[in-house]
Amino acid sequence: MSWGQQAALLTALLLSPALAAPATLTPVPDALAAVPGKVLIPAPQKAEFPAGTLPLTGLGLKLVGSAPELGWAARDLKAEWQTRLETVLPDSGSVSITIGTRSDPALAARAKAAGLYTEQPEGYALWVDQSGAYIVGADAQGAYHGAQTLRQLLTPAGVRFARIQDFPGLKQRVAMIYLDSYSRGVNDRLIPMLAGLKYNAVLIMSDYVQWDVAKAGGWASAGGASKAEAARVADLARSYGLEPIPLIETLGHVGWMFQGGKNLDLVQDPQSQNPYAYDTLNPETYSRVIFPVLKEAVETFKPKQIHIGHDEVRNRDRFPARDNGKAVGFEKLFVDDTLKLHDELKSLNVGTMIWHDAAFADAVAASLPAQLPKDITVASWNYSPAPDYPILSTIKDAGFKALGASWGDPLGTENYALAAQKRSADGMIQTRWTGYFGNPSLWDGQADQGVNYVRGGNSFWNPGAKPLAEVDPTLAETTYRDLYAPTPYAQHAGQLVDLSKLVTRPLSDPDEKGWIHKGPAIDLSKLPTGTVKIGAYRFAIGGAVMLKGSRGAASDLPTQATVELNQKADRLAFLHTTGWTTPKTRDTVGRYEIVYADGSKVVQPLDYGRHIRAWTELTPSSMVQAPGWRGKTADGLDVNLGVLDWVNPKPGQVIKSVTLISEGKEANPALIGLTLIGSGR
Amino acid sequence: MTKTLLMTAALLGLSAASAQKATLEFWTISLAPLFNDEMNRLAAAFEKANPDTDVKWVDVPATAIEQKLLAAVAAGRPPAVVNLSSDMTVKMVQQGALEPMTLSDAQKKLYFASPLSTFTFDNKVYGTPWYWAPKVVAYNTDIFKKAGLDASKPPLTIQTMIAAAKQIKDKTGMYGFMPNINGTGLLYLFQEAGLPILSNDKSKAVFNSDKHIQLLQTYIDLYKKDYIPEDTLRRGYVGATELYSAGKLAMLITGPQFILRVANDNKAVYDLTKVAPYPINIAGNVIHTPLMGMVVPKGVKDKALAQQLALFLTNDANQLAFSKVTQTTFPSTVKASGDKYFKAGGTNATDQGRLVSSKELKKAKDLTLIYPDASKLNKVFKDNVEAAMLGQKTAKAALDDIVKAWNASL
Repeated sequence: MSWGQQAALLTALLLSPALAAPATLTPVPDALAAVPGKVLIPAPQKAEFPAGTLPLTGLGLKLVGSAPELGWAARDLKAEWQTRLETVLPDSGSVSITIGTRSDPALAARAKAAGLYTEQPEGYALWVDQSGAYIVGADAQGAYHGAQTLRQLLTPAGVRFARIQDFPGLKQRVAMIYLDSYSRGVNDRLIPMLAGLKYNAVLIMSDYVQWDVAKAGGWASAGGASKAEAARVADLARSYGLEPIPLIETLGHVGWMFQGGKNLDLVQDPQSQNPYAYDTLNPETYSRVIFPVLKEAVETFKPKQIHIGHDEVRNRDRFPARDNGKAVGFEKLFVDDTLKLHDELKSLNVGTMIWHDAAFADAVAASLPAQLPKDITVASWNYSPAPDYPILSTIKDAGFKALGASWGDPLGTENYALAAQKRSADGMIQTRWTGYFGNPSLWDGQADQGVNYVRGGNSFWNPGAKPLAEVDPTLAETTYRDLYAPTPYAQHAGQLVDLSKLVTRPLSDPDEKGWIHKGPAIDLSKLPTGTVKIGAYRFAIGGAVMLKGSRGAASDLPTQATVELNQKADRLAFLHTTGWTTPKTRDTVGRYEIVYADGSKVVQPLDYGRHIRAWTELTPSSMVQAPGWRGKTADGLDVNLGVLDWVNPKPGQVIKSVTLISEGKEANPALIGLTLIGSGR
Repeated sequence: MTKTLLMTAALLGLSAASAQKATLEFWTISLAPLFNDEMNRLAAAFEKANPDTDVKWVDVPATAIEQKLLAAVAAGRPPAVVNLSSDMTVKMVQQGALEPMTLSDAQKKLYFASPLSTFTFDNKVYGTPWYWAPKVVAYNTDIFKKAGLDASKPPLTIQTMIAAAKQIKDKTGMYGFMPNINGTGLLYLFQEAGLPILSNDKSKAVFNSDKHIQLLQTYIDLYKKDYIPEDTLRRGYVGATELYSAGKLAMLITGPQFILRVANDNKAVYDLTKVAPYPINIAGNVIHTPLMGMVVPKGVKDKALAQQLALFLTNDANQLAFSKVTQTTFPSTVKASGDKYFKAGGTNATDQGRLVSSKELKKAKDLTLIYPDASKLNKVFKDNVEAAMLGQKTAKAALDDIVKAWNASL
């Protein structure tokens, strides 16, 4: 049917508030194909991929050496086999995955013979050929990192042939995580993922750990993690090669010590309504709160270093606010406090890390840093993408170890890592700011901050690597989703639904009467049509079943559309979006009603930002919806579509129909593709 | 027995009446601790006038108030009244977090029409206007002298201010100024320069013309040549006030109320401070002056009582009293604005600031624009301008990219 014919049909259809049409279905063998990615993350320094795969049959592990890291490598490989192939990787076999270090002369000789030998700390040589797979670490950590690479070479047909020589571009590669009452469920997923991304440390936000001293004083937070959980996470991190560095914010950002209205005699600004900083001239600050907390933190985490914050000290209340403090002045108060904490930690054989912004602020940079001990590590957060970050050299030139710290802006992480390498900084921290009690949001709510871990992992290991966004705009998102919640590699047959009889808007807009009536520069004309693979899914794409919304350009559309299926399916994949955004996150903008042959019905709400989002909105705040297509408009605006993978709770029953219903709000739903996965169990 | 029963009933009645007191919470933005006494006075005064109420004042940092309000509305426990700036109000209205108010004509006439219209969306009033304060320039006379500038003749235009800033940096090594270009500040600088943001029908963004690009390029060049400190983008007015208070910034573009912060942080610098009008861009001859208001969140238990509190906090007498406490802000009510207090100058920087501001009021306008999904469009704006400032994109590419994104949403 031509678009002209469709338009005539549409005009007729629009006279009624709802559309309905029987579906034409096309069977396909790969409605959903979960396959391993072809891009290794982090990108190795040197890699070749000769044609061929090492068969899985007869393959077994062979560890050479007794370092714990070799055992961790075996554990992770076995888990990978189990998760991806749902099979066991044996401890031995007729063909071996050999894992060891260059301390074994035979392995060192083989790595040299292969031309892949490296002595770089944490480096490794890895090769896979018809004789087997070999990982030879420059050290035990290197062997462990090599195993993480090998995991990514696994396919259902075997292990991809490869020749890799690899080592980190930055010495310290830190990812920030949180301790709260949701810690276990989230951190148990994150820690293996971060190891896979070849981080070697975690900065653990620990302000609200329920310290004994906090419990006794009545200022422990119910939302905080227990000390046992803190210790467990620290041990878990170590067992994945991640050095735990607790972050306990001090001087400023100390709302944690005033929980329940306690310790208010220690506040810096007595008139503050939101106690933010403490009084450094009151000895009780240290004896009652700060030193006991630091001591417990050392006992709990057994860290080599503690990050004591010291950022944004003057951003809220007056500092100094008390007359005795004013007489001393901010600079001396800051220095004296830092020295106190540094010396206390040093007495416990623990190093100190601080943020840079208060100590290196323009107002004090000329004099304050010179007064601090030079064994402090200074981490410089800067979340704006810039071509260079000279602050790292400023910190190093002042005599400190310097770390950069990035967040989420496009190319911010990548550029900062490159600057850190160029300026010989000690490393990078990938920060995350999801709130003190926000762990669950890492999957749904602030998932974009989880995606940043992938970008950080890639660029901290190999700062010179092409940014992932330039390799493939959805790569970081899809990788995060896959690493956080890995699924087996499998291909599922299914049926593509032809929606053409229901289409209300073309994807193109040559005359401002199409897509969203904005003209040819702002439309979806670059979305491929026909039978198209979008991420792991396949769809039949020809136009959009766009429904009514509050915007003028969507006001004449129907409020609902029904596709009659009369089929069984295990899952339904919806390729969809909204015409416009809404500022109301999680607002229900529509729903799918799935009606079964027996008359029963299941409703899938469409909450904005969770199940659906506008084609112009790129931030992947939720992983409930899978990343789908990414492209550009004619004038270069980045746009995207997502896939909602709906799991049928009644796969044994025939689905009679699926109806998309719009709530008629600003963000109006538009269904572009629908695919039935499986045929019902 | 009967007497005892009566007494018991009376006591029960008393305690029941006490329990029936309506608790009203109102939030303000960053007024603690400097203005604790005035806020507590207002709470007590409302309780006295309305004995069945129990009023609690809560001060919230500017950076936290929007999230806190959204969370409170979502949890079904909003405060009765919240202080929001005009741009925050736009976002909260769009997110469905506020209740429209029902004001009588007499109540509306208390306020100037322009401020009231700032809080009016689709003919519905969503807030009672409160205070505003045109920007001024506090300048360090000592640095001016060291740079060879006449401390009695501060720059009157943006162009001469930039020239002065360069001379100060070249001669003293200290920064001249920190322009308000962080966040969406450039949107207001464009308008102050007479450059449009949206097409007349508001369907298209138009701020990628040569003149817009040139204006952005001016600041990029200043940043590249180190005439603007790094903290400009990252820390905004907090960093500027800190640097000025340390005696290391010559000119502080600020709301006059923040001059009090300099007085707290460094009396010596405060004593060297004079206050000048915010330099106008001749092309625009207007000064963006954000207005504060009091709004009623969605889901309040007693909307009428909440509105009564909002009106009380922003009534004529209380606006005048608040201005006298802050010493530098101005009322949005007609009667209070005519008070002779605002025409009196003085010798210290605070008094000068008030006088200077009062003279600038005729150029003051809240230039906050209303466009759909402002939070997301503002982020696109901020990210791209930062990328241009930091050399990640050209000025043209940054503004083109913002316009593309805005046009898809307008």
